[in-house]
Amino acid sequence: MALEIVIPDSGPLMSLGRIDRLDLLDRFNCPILITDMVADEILRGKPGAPDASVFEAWFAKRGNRIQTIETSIGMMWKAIPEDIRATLKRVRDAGETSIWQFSNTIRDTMAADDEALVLFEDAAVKKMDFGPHIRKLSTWSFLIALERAGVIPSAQTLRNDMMAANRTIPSDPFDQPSPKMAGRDEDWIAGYDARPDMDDPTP
Amino acid sequence: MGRSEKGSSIRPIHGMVTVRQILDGFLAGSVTDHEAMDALHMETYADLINALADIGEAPPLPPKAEVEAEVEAALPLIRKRLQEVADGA
Repeated sequence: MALEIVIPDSGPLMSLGRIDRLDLLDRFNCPILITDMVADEILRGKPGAPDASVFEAWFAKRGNRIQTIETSIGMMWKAIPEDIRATLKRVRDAGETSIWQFSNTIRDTMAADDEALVLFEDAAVKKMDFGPHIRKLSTWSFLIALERAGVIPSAQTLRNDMMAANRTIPSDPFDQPSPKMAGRDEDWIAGYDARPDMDDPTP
Repeated sequence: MGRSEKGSSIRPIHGMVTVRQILDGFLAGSVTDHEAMDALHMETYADLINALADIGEAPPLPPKAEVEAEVEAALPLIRKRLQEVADGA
């Protein structure tokens, strides 16, 4: 048996990307295949969040080691004009379904002793049948396996890093705390009214 | 107590009002990923992961027996591949 392909779902990519440890996927020196729907999920990001740029940089750095794989569900999604796509709700579990579709195309062509790893977090993946040559591994199991293989000193430390790494996203002005007023614990209305750019509401 | 996620019985999520309650419920295991995604109008699991990241939380850990089964199946592959990489294969 030999590990030939790593197929990560969006969850593990986002968790590892969040702590800048996407390099852990590179350790196996084998192709990392990302389905089109998974790529779409991780690259769209949230406005203002650093997520998409982290993955774009990783894709560029790894060159052809990382390949985006077309799937039926991904091609159908892309066939929808972009302006309409933005208004549509996505199909539930689309990323996972695209991995399952891809696994169906390779399950009969993989050599008897070749194996692939599917990395996942979404519970939907647990119920999917990827065939006999594809092992499913959650992000946490992946970290535990890397710890036992001596690649990382501690899975728990990386998990702690994930918890410590909140994303810093520019807040909507209405989400921001009110300015503090010197020496007093004002409520938000007083703080808001005291902003220098506020017009005097009294007639 | 509820009987199933899709049944008519009351689930913990039905008493939750705020985003934080729902995310905490997901982390505690009382709310499923799909329940949380539906309640928060999220389209993908990636959105849920991002919401957890925004509040400084990692996704919940899977059960230990499940982790051990996955690791047992994958570790020989990983060790062998790492050895091949070290040997320059």
